[in-house]
Amino acid sequence: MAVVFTMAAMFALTTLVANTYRAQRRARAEAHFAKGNVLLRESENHKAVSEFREALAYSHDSFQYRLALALALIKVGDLGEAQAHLSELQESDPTSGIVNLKLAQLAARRGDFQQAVTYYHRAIYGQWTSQPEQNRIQARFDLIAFLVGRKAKKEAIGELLQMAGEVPDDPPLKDRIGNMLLEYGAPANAADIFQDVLSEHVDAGAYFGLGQANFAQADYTAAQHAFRRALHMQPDNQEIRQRLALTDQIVALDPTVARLSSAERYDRSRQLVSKALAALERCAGAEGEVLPDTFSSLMAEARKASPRRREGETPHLISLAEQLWQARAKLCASPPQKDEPLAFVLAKIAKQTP
Amino acid sequence: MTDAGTQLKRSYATWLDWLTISETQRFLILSIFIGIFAGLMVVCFHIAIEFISWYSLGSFTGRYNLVRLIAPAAGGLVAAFLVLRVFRAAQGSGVNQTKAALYIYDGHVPFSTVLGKFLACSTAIGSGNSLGPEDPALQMGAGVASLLGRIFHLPRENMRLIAPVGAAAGIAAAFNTPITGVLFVMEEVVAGWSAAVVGSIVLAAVSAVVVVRWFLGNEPLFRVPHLENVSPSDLIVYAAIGIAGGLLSALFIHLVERLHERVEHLPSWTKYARPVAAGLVVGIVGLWFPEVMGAGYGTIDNALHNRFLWDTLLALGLLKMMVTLFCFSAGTPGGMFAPTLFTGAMVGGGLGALALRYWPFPGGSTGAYVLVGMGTFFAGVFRAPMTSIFMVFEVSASYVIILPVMIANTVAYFISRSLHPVPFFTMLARQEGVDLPSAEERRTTAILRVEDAMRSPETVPSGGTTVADALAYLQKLGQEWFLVSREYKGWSYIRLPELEAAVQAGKQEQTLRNVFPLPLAPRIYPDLALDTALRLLGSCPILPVTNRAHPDQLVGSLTLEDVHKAYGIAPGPISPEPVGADSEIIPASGAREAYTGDGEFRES
Repeated sequence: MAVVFTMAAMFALTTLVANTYRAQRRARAEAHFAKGNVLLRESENHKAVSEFREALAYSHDSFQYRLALALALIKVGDLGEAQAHLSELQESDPTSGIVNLKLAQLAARRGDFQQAVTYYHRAIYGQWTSQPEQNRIQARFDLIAFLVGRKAKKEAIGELLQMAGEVPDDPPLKDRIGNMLLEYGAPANAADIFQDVLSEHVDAGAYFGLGQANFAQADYTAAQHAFRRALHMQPDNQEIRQRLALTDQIVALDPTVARLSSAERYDRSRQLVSKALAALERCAGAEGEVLPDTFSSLMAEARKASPRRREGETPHLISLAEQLWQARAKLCASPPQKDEPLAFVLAKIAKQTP
Repeated sequence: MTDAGTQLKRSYATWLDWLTISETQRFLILSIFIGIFAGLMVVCFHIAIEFISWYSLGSFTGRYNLVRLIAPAAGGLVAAFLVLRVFRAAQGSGVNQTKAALYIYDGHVPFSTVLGKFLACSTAIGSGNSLGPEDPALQMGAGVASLLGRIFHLPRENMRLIAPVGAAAGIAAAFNTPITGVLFVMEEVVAGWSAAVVGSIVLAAVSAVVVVRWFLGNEPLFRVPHLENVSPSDLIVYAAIGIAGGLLSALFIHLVERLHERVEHLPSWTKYARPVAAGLVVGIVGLWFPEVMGAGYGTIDNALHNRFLWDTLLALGLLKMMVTLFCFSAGTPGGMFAPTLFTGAMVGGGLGALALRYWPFPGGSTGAYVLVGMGTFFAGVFRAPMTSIFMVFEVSASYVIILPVMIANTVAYFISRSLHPVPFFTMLARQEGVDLPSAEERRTTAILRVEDAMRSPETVPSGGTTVADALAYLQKLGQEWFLVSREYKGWSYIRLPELEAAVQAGKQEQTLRNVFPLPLAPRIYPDLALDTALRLLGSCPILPVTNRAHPDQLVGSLTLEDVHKAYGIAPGPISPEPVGADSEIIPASGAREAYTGDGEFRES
């Protein structure tokens, strides 16, 4: 009996002592953690690391303290230790968005492509304690930037399309996605995004983006229409104005535009020939080249193009213009000007020609 | 006493009688109580160390904290006073003292040892001296067990076994690792696997760990980060870590031996000054490397998380070894477990981190090398290979690392053993004038078996053979005792003079089974220890040796004479040698004496 009573008494004493001990540990851990956060705000990152380390020493199983330490270690550049702590956090909570994001960033830094992509996906679909939507979106943008940096444009486009399907109704965000798709060479997908935005909202950015997407797909008429709508909503926007001006020139020059009369089509094709000839002559003059005979015969034929309308000759003139332009490309070392309407028209025609 | 009280007492006695539990069962139940008490003790011990550390050392942030310089020395002085003046039985690490209780003092560990160990070691370790809490916890557990054994008036045989039960509870609670606690006590304290005590040891260890986890949580001793699978080329690095661990551990044992010897020859008044001097050394080193102070588990945890570079890791390992050497040799009370884990972890981590830089093949993480290194120094110093392997496995909860741990620890064990054959605790015990057994010695001592002593099988007569024929055949063999095969399996035995007497009595034409009783002789097997066979020879002068797979097949026979030959004992009576002045005399154990660890025996 005495033994049992003694055991009970020892249990009571140990409980009291252990409770005091735990309370002290908790208080010390919290104090160090709070101090660490203050030091972080003051950009005293190394001291903050020490404080977070102390906090963790008092509370080994605290997710919050370990995460704070890991993030502070990343700030001071101690990536090895940060990796170790983050790996441990990931094991204890595999769905944590922030942990997976940081692991992804570390993997990206050391060039581990597969690991980085895996962790990014876990971050995107993981749990975020605050602002989950924004964090997921930002994580995805991080991933896209990483993929583009590693020349994985197809994968980046895939991620953008995935994101477009998942994000809430947010026109600026969708505009951003559309512009990124444009930038990475997916104008058709970009156009769909912008159309989707415009179906619900009137948005100058979306019109402009749509115009750009149509422009990239050589649909200059549709691009002109979109740019006009954008300019109407933002008349002071010089970029839109310039883009529209270029599109207008292209459309005015393009003999393949729909609903043109045959006379107009002939005039435009003759204009195409004369511009292509001028470009070739300029190039030959500039280079001081003696033209090969084939070029000379082409040019002679171009000069013979009659101002009188011979509407059956439109396709021939268009073909002649193309040949002159190709001759120019072979002859000239310098490329044509960036916003040369002639170049756009002839490129469009070349794509359409089987 | 009132009628109600008498009634209650009678009911209680009846209830106990009704339970009718055997002595073995009582011992097992007592083991659980021991585990609970030991667990409570260790919880309080752990908390005491932490509190002292908080208020004497504070945090380790920032260097050049002058408190760190004097705290270990002050703590060492207080601890020295406690063990030299007040609790003299609390000196030493605790392991040898527990073994002495088992082998010399019938399991007696005075309770004052428990109090002394608690106060002195918590002060010494909490103030920053480079020692560990596990060995003291082991002895405190043994002390608690011994006290309970005396309270419950255990018989002598059980009292002897109670100390290791408490020791296992103490060390399992201190490490929060039940398997390690059991294994270490079986390997080092009991020095062998004894079926009589293993169940109690396990129960006590488990109970103690349950109590510790109840109060302090389920957290493992270390938070081990995720470990990748080990590649074959990595095993070479782990083997190299084992080699380093083995070499360093042998050096460490050698240095402890030398320094201990020198220190023991210093004047007695220096007994107070030595822990102070050692504490000052720790304090000076601690100004630049506070990580070497105290047990060091926090630093090991940091090393597991890649906090340190390879040069820092190596420096910490070597410095820890040095300060531990000073603290332990100076007589500061405390244990060696934690410092050996620390040293091994740092050296292993340092070498591993170095390999990660220059090894051409892809390697593991620094954390993995730290973890594996932890066990190597331990295995080399304490020569407890199974304990070291399971300990790393238990604290890491990772099976991925088991193969490197086995390789590294085994390499360290064999290298240390070949360079310094005497194990650490045995060396200490001998320096203190006591010869205690160790599992290491038992491993290296060859065991004689029946096959080493038996003689080849001869053709044995059956029970149907006549006395005359049997005598004619057996006289040629020239031995006194013979086997006879019985009709219904097995063998019996007969003596030559009895055959001769039967012939003289005119029974030569009768069969052996008609003339002699032919009792059944117990069978033995070639792989049995000769010690086991010797016990059977007490009741049967010649034993048949049979094959385990074919028990009816006789493969030899064994007599006392054969056993004597195997042990190298010449035939004839043994004359005792007179006891000279140089003989070792171990004082007769009394329940009132205690081994203090300094070669003296004092009343408890």
